This record gives sequence, structure tokens and C-alpha cells, in this order.
Amino acid sequence: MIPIRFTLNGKPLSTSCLAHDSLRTILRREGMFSVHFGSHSGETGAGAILLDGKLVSSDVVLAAQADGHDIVTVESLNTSPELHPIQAAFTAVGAFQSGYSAGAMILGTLSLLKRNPDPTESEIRDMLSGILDRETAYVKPVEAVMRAAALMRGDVAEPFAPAILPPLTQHGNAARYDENDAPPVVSAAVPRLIPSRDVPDMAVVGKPEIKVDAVRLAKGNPAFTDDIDLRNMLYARVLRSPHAHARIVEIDDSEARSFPGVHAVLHYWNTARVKYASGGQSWPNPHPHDQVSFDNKVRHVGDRVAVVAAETPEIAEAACRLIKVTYEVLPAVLDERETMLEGAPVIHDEADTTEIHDRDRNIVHHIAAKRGDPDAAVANADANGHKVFTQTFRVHQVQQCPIEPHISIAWLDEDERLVIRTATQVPFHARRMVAPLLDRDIKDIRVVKPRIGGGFGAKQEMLIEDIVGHLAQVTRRPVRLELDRSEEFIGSRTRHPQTLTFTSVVDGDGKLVSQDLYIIGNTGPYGTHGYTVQTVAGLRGLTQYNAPNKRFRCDVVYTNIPVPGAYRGYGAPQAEFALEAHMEDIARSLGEDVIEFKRRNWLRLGDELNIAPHLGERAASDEELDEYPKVLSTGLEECVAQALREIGWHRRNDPAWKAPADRPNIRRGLGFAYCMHGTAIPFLDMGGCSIKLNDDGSFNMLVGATDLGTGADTVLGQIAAEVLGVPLEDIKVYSSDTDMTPFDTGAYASSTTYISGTAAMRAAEAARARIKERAAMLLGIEQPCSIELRDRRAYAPDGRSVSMEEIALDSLHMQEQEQIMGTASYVSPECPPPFAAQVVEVEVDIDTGQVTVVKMAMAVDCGVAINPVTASGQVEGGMLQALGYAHCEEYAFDSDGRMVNDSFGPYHIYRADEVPETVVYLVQTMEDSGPFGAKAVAEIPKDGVAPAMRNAILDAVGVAMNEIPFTPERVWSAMRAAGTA
Amino acid sequence: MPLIAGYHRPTDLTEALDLLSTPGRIALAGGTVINADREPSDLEVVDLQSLNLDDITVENGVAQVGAMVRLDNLAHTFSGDLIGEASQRELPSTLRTLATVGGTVGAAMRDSLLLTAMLASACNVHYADGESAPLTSAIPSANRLITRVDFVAHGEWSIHSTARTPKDTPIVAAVGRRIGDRLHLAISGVADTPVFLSDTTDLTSLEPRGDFRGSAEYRLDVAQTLVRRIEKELA
Ligand SMILES: Cc1cc2nc3c(=O)[nH]c(=O)nc-3n(C[C@H](O)[C@H](O)[C@H](O)COP(=O)(O)OP(=O)(O)OC[C@H]3O[C@@H](n4cnc5c(N)ncnc54)[C@H](O)[C@@H]3O)c2cc1C
Ligand code: FES
Repeated sequence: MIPIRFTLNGKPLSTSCLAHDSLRTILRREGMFSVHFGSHSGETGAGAILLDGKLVSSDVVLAAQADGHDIVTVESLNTSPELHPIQAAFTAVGAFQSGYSAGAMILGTLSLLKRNPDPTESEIRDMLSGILDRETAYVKPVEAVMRAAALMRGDVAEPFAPAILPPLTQHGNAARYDENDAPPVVSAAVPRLIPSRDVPDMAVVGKPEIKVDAVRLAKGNPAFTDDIDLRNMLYARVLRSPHAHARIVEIDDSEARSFPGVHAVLHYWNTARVKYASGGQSWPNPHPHDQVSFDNKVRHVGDRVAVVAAETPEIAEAACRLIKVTYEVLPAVLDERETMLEGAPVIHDEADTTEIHDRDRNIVHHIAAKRGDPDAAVANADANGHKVFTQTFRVHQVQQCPIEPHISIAWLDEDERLVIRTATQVPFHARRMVAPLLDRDIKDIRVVKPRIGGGFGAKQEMLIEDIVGHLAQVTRRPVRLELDRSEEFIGSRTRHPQTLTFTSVVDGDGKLVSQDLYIIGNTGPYGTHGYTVQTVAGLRGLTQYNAPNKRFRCDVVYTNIPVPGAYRGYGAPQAEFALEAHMEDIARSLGEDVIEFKRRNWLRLGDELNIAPHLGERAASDEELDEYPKVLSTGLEECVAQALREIGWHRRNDPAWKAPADRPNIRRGLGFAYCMHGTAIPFLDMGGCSIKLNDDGSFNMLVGATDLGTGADTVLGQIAAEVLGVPLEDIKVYSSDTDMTPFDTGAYASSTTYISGTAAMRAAEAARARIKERAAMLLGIEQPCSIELRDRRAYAPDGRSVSMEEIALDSLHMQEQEQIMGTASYVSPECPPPFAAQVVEVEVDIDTGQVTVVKMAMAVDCGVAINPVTASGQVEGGMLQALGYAHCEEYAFDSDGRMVNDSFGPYHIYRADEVPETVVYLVQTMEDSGPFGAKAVAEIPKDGVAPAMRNAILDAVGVAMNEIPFTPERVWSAMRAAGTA
Repeated sequence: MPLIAGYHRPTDLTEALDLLSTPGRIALAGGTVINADREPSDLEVVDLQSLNLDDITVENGVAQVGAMVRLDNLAHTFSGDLIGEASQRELPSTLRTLATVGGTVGAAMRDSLLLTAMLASACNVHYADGESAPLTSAIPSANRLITRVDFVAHGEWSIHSTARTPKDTPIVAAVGRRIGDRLHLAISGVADTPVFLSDTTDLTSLEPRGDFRGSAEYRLDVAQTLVRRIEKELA
């Protein structure tokens, strides 16, 4: 042990460390839970602290190096219940989503403002450049630093609120584009809101309320999975496969077992073989059940081989290296187009995996659904004077990249029940799915979901909960497993690569006669979400345009890549890239204006979603139905008008703008994509909520829904507050714990606001009904329904009132005592689509192929945005993730299937100092089926950036790229092939 | 963190050299490379922070910079100059405050923009034994303790680079600085470390290692484009 002394938050500290201990490790040991883990190499910045006043990543500082220095963490600011002005500024503008890197951002701001009280935007962005944020696109954090600077200088800051804009369209008709009409000049962080006359003004809903968890995040309070200290905790480390495909012939764990400090080593020899499918989905989980906790075969580099639990992470890691594994290496296949070919290795040859569609050709599922007769449409095209267009697109593999990697901690409680505290989007699914693997009843498992540092679908999986469960049962001690960044890439979940072929038939009037989509979906070595993601790709690829004939066919295939799963957008970004590129190219080859061509064919109010019911979550069918769901609200034309004005669409026709004379190697272009998404899975997604009244007139609200940083807790609280006539601060939201909160399917499929929100509304309505009855009793009124709740009071028609507190005290303590409580759950028969218009501006270097995205804007119709600030934050962050998908993120493999870029940097996600200008419009519509008119907003921003960017490159340099991402060499090669470079 | 087995913090150069003379010990500067390395090793590190290697002086346009000067300090001190710009772009805010000049030379990364800029700035490397060598011949500086570097910190300059995104590590970067009437050119991404382009270097004779960010053919093509741009700009 090395003795060290440093000043921690102003106080001298003497302690000791090992030579390899990082400063982060020691700070967390000292209770500084705001210092988070993002990676060992420091590039996420989640563990950044101030060292002698400078922002540094504590991951790459040895604790011993800090000896004699001055260390400051965000805990230093937490001297009173009130927030420091910097913390207050961040919460005021909604700059935190998950808040996982909140401490780093606040400290960076503190240090920057000390040096420079009036920083420029580029100085702020530079300060944030070392703190990767997967959620906000940095738009609101930049605004927060500016606001903090103003507050610290003593300026008075206005409340942060949306800019209310007049509509450009009337009655849903297309607007006439006016190139002299400039977009409003407002800070990028401010959501532009175009209200609908159909939406009444409300007290809490629709207001930019500060998030209910803002204080805990801004202060860096221990809120995340890892932020607890358990006595006698053991650390787990997974030994992962170095081969893409191999049989495990033998495992010799004797040395590892006898290594001092090791408590358990598990692998296929000593762990029960229980088959399961890991995708966090409703019961019964879709087949095939092709996984077991530990198998005698590995199917991708990074697959589980064994796990060790030991006294320290270092011992666990060292012991992993002592496990001797003899592999019989098998040929591997990575490409979805090759895996079906003759001679390809069979990836699931084991007898106990059943319900594989065509095992020998690695086809897990074949999906088919149809309306009309697309074959006839193609066959008769010539005769009818119709044109046929066929195009194939390829989309690649990327990762969700939550800054908090997967982490789970499990222990046996005093009743011998297994508690799993875990970063999951699906606590209830995880509990049900893990039970058989651990040979436990569901009732003997409790899954607790604390705050999550981002998920985006990666955590919609029962991914490591079985491992910590097994180890806690075997060792009878608490066990913690945290994936490192490389494991997060190769050992968690990713987006499905696909090859997509669209065939469309267009008549002489430019109307679609038929659309046919064939997808080869690469589900990697395991089925998990393979079926449903491809179904959604079919749904999204074939829904948003009208055509009487439609067909979807898909082969979902096994390969040996790291496992794809759920990723925000869930098949839609893939399909929409292909669709919006395909439609662009059809318009161009017909010599038509792209927007006019799309407009002629896109869905309008009252149009049928004609393939949707045929592509169910669990089965596809061709059978005609009596009735089809319809579009009941759309603000698409308004979205298009706002987006085109914002980007200055007329510049597409200005040669001087497109080829700037002073920059001869640059070409500019603008691109457009129309997007449509879904809201929840009808008849399947279910959410529950219960609300109870407390002595002081406040409420506890328990929801099963999981807030990933999306602001779901806040939005659900706002909905309840609106119903109950109280401010948001009177609703204390708790989510989620399988012992305490009602069931919820989880945070996915853009369902939380719509489904769980309706449950919250109904639970609040149930409580409200009782409150009104008690108020009527106190006020001596005959008709409770005449009572109105507002401003924490219940008002009689004659103006007399009682306070919520009086009602609470009366009902809990005085007469006919009862607990006023409302409980409700909701499952929707509908799936109302949100609509959006996405525009992108690019510059292309014609010599090198480098593409720079200058600006992105999205106008979204998400119904009524319950909270415009959190809603716009969702759109900003979603667009930037989508830009990464389109532009720079990709899995690169060597010839043996090893990922060569499994760290940030080589796998590049956008930094604060390089993001394009990002602008969001919220176009209100009234969706009658949603709570207070809401539809979904979380996923649609993932859909349009790739096609809009692709179409912008096409506009700039005339090359149509049918494969993402648009990295310099790809664009350069395409230009060369086209003879333009 | 690698399994670093020992930590030493010498207070003078003699002690440092003495410690470093034992095999299995390496110099630890900012630690952004060493401490980020996850490969198991039984290294002992010799921390250079107490050796007073953090001075910067500039005389007659030539800068003397201690090996332990951090990149954020370089960026600030040489703001507006090539070295400042390259230091700023080399690493993001939370690592730039740690990484050092000595570590940049020691790590000798193929994609280092700062190293490329130093190559174009007539940089010399000074060692603890009193010797020095031009940077062009000092990479890689196998196991010799660097105490400072000097470089020309004035004259017209230009950086042209190609990357996936504006602040991504360049796939290829070309750097030029005019010193007197000569144009000094250096380029990254076309060899295992950045290269100085002397009058006799034939760009097309380089054999870059291709990877997923850029094939060998692409790197060479872009290198020629970027060098042409610099020559034109600084003509
Ligand atoms: C996330 C991340 C991203 C990075 N991105 C880039 C990048 O984009 N471009 C890039 O070029 N680099 C990059 N690096 C590498 C690194 O940050 C730089 O090379 C840095 O300048 C190294 O400086 P240091 O002081 O931290 O080095 P250290 O880690 O302390 O040392 C690096 C090497 O230099 C030796 N050394 C250090 N000082 C001396 C000395 N005085 N004399 C002799 N030898 C010495 C050490 O022994 C070691 O071998 C990245 C690193 C990380 C963690
Ligand atoms: S109280 Fe019965 S309807 Fe009003």
C-alpha cells in the first residue's frame, strides 16, 4: 500500500492506495459517488474531476499521482439543500437527461467560469469536448453554461420556455414556400413550439417543468446502480471468447479456483443448461430460445465462456487469465448475405434449440405479409405504362453506447430472496426471465432499477442479471458485475445490420401502385429481438406511403457478429434510410420535385395504416381484415413547412451557394426525409400506476415505467399533477422496483408517455374521484362532480374551498378514515403515429470525400408535448445519435471477426465541439387517444438523419450512396466510380 | 489500469535516471497512454512530475518546452500558432490537461497531429544525459528520458486534414510551416509515425498501413491532395 495525502473538496485527506489504483477508484471509495465510470481510458469524461483546478479524467490518473494535489468533486458544492447557481442553471434548461455525467459538466463549468466569466460558445464547447454525452446533443448543456455564466455575473435569467410560433399552414394543407420568409432567430436550445387551436391551456401539462430528479442529478447524489456500498461484496469478471465460432472442448479452471481471493468460477460444466431468449419482451418470449447462461459453444468474439467472482476486480481479471480453455475453432460468417449460402457454417447445430426456421441455412425466421398483389403490379407494369424501380441498400452495425455500461449487483436478502439491483429498461421482464435460469420462483426475486445512465435499447435485455444471480447464489455474498467499454461493444447489444431491397411501381400520375420490401436481417448469433426488430423494419418501411399493393418478406439470419438487439428506433432507422433514399431516387428519375412526389403519396389524415395489422409483434399474416387503423392526427404539412424554412430549402437551386467560388473543393447540398413512427405496441404494451394521498396533501406515485433519463418520471408526474390540480412538486414519483411498483412492460417502443402516461392519468382520476367525494363531504355539497381541483384546493361551484391538506388530514385521521388511493393500468388498442420532417445541410470535399454536416433540423408532430423541454431534448439527442449512425459510427472487424475499434475514438461518437447546428420544432396536434393529446417523441428523431444526409450528399455532388456510414473513403470511392472525383 | 506493480516519484534527474535504469520501469508523464492501457503488465512507473520539467521559454521565436508541460498549457501559450492549434486539436478537454509534450514524443502515435506539427517546426529533443537530436531522428525515442524539446514557434503555418467528423482524429493530416524561406512539411497517417517530408521524400513511395478508416490507396491519394493545398496556401 502506498500512503497518499491530498486535499479533497477543501479538506485534507490521508489514505492509501495500490500502485494501480486509479484516482476514480479512490474517490468513489471515499464516497464521491458523482465520479462515474464510463471507460478505463478516460475518453467518456464521466469520471472527470478538478485536479489543481483543471478538468481531468480521473480514470487515467493514478491515485498515487494525485498525492500532494488539490482534488474537487461536485460534492464540494452540496453545502445546502439549495443548488449552486451552476447546478441551478443546468436544471433550469433541462440539460440533464440521465445525468450520468452531470458532475463532470458542472465541474468543467466551474473551472471554465473561474478562468473566464464570459466564455464564448466555442470555448464552452471545447470545455465539454472531453465529456461524451449520448443524450442531449450538447444543445442544452451549452445553453446551461451560458446561463450559469450569466447567473454568476449577477444577471437575472428569464425562465427557460419554448418560443411560440405561428403556423405556416392552414387546415393541414401544404404551405407555399416563401424564400424571403426567414426562420425565427432563437437560441438553438429553445424548442420552437407551434401550438394547435385544439389543445386547451393547462396548468402543468405542456409546461417546461424542471425534472423531478433534477436535484439528485445536479448534486451527483448516489442514484445509480453502482452508487451503493455493500459489505463483503465480490467482483465478477467474464472470460470472453477470442473466437468468432468455436466449440469448447475443455475447460481447466483449477488454477483459477485456487487463486487467492477467488470465490467462484462458473462455466458450462457447473451451471445448469436452461434455454432462454434474452430479449426483454412480453411473455411468452419469442422463440427460438437459443441461449444458455454458459454454453459449450461460442458464437461470436466476446461470447461468454466463464465467469469469476473474487475479492477485487483485479483478482477476478487475473483469475480469468488462469482459466485454460481448449477450443475447436470453427469457420465463422459475419455477413448476412453469405450466411444463407451453401457451405456456410451452421451456427446453431445443438439439438435443444428448436423452432429455427431453416437451421442448415442459418435462417431463424422467415417473415411474410402482404396486401394486394405486388407481383402482378410488377408483371403488368409495362402494359399499364407504369415504371418499376428496384434498389438495394445496406445498413451496418452500431452500438447504443450508453455512457453507463451494463452493471448489476445481486445479493440474498434477510429472507433469502435474491435482490438484483440493475441498470435495466425492463425490470419486470428481467425478473420473470431470470427466474428459471436461477431455479427460483419469481416471488423470490426482487429487481430494483435505480437511475440509469442511458440505455437506448441496450438495456432492454436480460443481459447480465443471470450471471450475478448465479454467483450470489453460489457464494452467498453480494456480487457486482460491471462491463467495461470493450465488453459493452462486443458483449452487450447492437443495432441489426440489414440488406434491404425495395421494389416500387409508380403509375403515370406519379402515384405508388406497389411497394415491396425484402430484408435480410442479421441477428448475429442469437435470436433475441431479431424477429420483432425486422417486423418493425417492415412496418416502418411499408407504412408511410399509400399503395394498394404491399409486401414484406424477410429472412432473419444467424451470423457470428456481436449480438444485435433493441436500439432506439428498433428497425425503423434501417428501413427509413432505404425508403427515403429510394423515394428520392424515384422522384429524381421521374424528373419530379422530391417533396411533391413524396407528398402525393404520403399518408394523410384518415388514411389507412394498411400493412400494420399484418405485422404483429408475434406473428405476420396475409388475411384481409374488416377494418384497418387510420391516421387520426397529423401535423406533417406544418412540420414540412417549418423544416424547409429553417434550412433555407431554396438554396438547393442556387448554383453560387452550391459551389462557393472561394472554396473550389467544396460542394454544398440540402436533403430532406419524411418520417413516421409508431407509439407503443397495440394490445401488448402495458403500464401500471398507483397514487396515494399523504397527510400534507402531496402524493406518492409509483410507476413501473423506467425513466432512462428521458424525463419519463417528470412527464408522468406532470400528467398526474394536472389531473389532481397540484403543482408537480407535490407528486413524488418512484420507479421502479418489482416488489413495490406496479407492472410495466418497460421503457421501449416509444410507449412510456402514451401507455404509462395514460395509466398515470387514470390512476390520478381514480384518486381525484375520491378526493372530490371527501371534499363534497367537507363542504356539505350534494354533487361531488361539481367540485373542481386546482391550486392544491377543491372548489365548490359557489367558490368555497378546502385545501388538499385538509382533505388528507380528514381522510387519514378524522372521520371514516381511509387511504385515498388510485390505481390503474393501461394497454392501448391504438398506435397513433407521430410524423416529422427532417432536413440536413452538408458540405462535401470533392477531393477527399469528407462530408461535414453543417446543420440538422427536425420538425416533429408528437401530439401534445407534455413537457416541451424534455421532448425537444429527446429530439436533439436522437438526431445526434442518428447522425453518428449515418456519418461516423461503425463496427470494424478483422478477418477473424474481432472488432478492431472497441473503444471511443476509433469508434467515434460526436463530441460537443463538432456537432452541427441542431434545431427542433414541436408541431402540436391533438391525439385524442393519448393522455392530454400526447403521442410519442423518443424514437422518431432516429429515423430521418441518415436518408436526409444521403439525399443532401446527392444534392451536393450527384452521387447516390446506398450504404452507410458516409465516411470519407466511401464517399470518395463513390465519387470516383461516378466519375465526379 | 494495467496492473502497475510499483510507483516511484523521484525528485531530481539523477534519481530518475537511476530508477529508470532498472528493467521493467518506465517514465510516467500524463499517463493518458500508460494508465489507459488495459493489457496486464508488471510495470513499475517512474512519475516525472516532481522534476521541474514544466518550464516554457520563448527566445528569438524558438520555444524551449519542458517535457512535462501539459497540452492545455501549450494550447494556451502558443494560441494562434501552429503548435497551439495542434495541441488544442490533439485531445479533448479532459485529457489535454493531463497529456504532456514528453509523452507525445514518447508515445509516437501514428495519428498525432501535435507530433506532426512539431516535425514541421524544426523540433529538437533534449535528453536527460545532455544529448539532443532532431525530432526527425528521435522517433521512436526508445527508453531515453526526455527533459525538453525546442521548436520554432513563429512563421506562417497551415493544417489540412481529413477526418470522419470535424474533431475526429485525422485519417491523414498535412502540416506546413514557413521557416525563413523554406516550407517545412510533415504528414500523419501515412506511416507508423508522422513523417517529415524532406525535399527528397517521394510521397508516393510511402507504404501506409490501411485500416477501416482509410485504405493505403486512399491515404496516399488524400496525402497528395492535402500537401498540394498547403503548398498552394503557403506559396
Ligand atoms: C482516449 C484517448 C484518446 C487519445 N487520442 C489521441 C489522439 O487522437 N492522437 C494522439 O496522438 N494521441 C492520442 N492519445 C494518446 C495520448 O494521449 C498522447 O499520445 C499523449 O500526448 C501522451 O502523453 P502523456 O503525457 O499522457 O503520456 P504517458 O502515458 O505518460 O506516456 C506515454 C509514453 O511516453 C513515455 N514518456 C512519457 N514522458 C516521457 C519522457 N519525458 N521521456 C521519455 N519517455 C516519456 C512513457 O514512458 C510512455 O511510453 C489518446 C489517448 C487516450 C487515452
Ligand atoms: S355526483 Fe353523481 S353525477 Fe355528480
